[in-house]
Amino acid sequence: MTLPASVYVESWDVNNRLGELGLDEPLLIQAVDRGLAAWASCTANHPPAIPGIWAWAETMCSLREQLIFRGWERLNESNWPLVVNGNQMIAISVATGDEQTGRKAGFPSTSSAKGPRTVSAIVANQRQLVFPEMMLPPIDSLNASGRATWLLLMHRDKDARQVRCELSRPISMDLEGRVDGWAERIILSPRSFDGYDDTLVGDGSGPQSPEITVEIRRRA
Amino acid sequence: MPDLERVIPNPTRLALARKRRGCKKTKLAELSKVDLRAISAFEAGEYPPAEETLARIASVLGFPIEFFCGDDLDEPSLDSGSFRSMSKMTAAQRDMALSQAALGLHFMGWLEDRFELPPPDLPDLSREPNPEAAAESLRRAWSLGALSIRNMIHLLEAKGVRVLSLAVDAREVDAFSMWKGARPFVFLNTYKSTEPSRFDAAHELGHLVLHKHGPPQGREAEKQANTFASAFLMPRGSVLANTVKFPSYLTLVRLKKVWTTSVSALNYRLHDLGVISDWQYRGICIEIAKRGRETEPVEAPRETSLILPRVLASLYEEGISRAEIARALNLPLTELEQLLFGLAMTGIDGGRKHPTPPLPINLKRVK
Repeated sequence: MTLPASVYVESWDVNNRLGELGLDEPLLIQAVDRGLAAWASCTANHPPAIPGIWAWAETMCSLREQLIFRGWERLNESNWPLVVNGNQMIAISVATGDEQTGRKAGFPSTSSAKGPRTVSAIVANQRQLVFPEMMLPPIDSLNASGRATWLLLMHRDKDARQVRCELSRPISMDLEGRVDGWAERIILSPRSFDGYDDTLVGDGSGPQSPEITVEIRRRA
Repeated sequence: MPDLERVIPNPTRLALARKRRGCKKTKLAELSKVDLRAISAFEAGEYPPAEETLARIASVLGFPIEFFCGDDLDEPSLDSGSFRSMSKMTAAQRDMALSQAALGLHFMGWLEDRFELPPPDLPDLSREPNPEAAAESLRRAWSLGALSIRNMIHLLEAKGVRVLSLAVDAREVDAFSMWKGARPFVFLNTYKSTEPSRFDAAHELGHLVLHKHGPPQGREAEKQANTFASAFLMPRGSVLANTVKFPSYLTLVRLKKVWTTSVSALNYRLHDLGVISDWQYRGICIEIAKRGRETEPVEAPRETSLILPRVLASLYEEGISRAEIARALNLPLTELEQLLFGLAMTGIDGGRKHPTPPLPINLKRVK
């Protein structure tokens, strides 16, 4: 099942939709950055899977830390970590996406198969699409039919040296269990990880901190 | 020429200009053909020099007469800052460095009136007794993880530290840092090669975060700043992940590129972390000594300022050259060039030929 998703790209549109969900882009970006920093703290002595896992874990932790201040709650449904808003209508989890992630015209999938909890969340998301032809169900209609689960999808693009991310509402999975269909995709600004690299050293150049930019303003 | 009808020079500026030149009062008296007691009296503010005497002094010191007529300049004192090799410096070298710092503060004040530069973002780690842990906390606070620092000067500048050059051509004077109110400053000896200069920058960063409240002096403070710099530039995890058990001198020459440090700093760090034995450490020290400590093998490209070339380019676009900046500050152009030396390309003809290449940047006007 592949429905064309409603895609939010322009910053006013992104901010508007995030605002409706009780979120904002800086909050999500801060969570993504926290994951990047966790990645950066790993060295070649860490097991290969760890940088990704730590990045995922720290991103989730940062989301919760920030959102709990806004009245959201931490929820672990059979070990599936979520953060849920006060009226239990919106839940967010974090997942790694494939290279289509964060691309305006992309069709992203999660990079790994998801468990039964994700399946039931997607089924619940599907039920909320009472009128599938309506691309953008209003929040109220979602409230009527239960919780909407969103995924903060992140993808490290090594070639472009950026992390692309989006907050998206999944509605379908492929046969292998990867999430591959979305009702809405809110595209966030990509984060440069120039330097945040997992390549092992040997040729004499190591992973380096990112290029720095500073803002300088001319006073009138 | 300004209206010299009655120029009353500021005694502190007279002394400052003299110290900047590393010139003793006796020497100034001799060169300007003024009585030594008179020089002392001028600097003590007992009575002002006659106009033509002042003109002679100004010309000997190479400062415009207008310089002597301004208000007092903020002069960093010995305990407001930290010199790494204080004990090795002569009083004259120290005075030259401190007086240059005073001119640096003057110049930065002028720039900050015109540009909004990054605000300081340095945690106060003075309660952290262990400099290694302090370096780790700072890395965490700045989300640097275990990554190598790409550019120390850029990092300092982005965190609100104002970096200027300390153009005292003496090896004893390496770097100097200070807090002026809430504003951190680092003066680097940019004559040095890249690797030791990065270590100096990290060492001064250590003083800024570790010794904000106390006068950062004495061997203990210097040792702390060195340990901090070593741990900040070469984080433990990254060193242990990238090193080998029995490195030779040549291995270190190759390895040091990972952190852009000198061979001797890396040797020290490896020993400190227990990667190499005392015996290996000493062996490599001997190798370093044989090749001469003054030259760093395979030197990395020089680090320059991120901020200074941009503000200078922006001013130049408005028609304000370096010569004009120097005039506005009543400084000789050479003084300005020395503050910028090695950080922003210095022009030979006073900046008229657009010494810094125009950068594709948008500087926003606030209003």
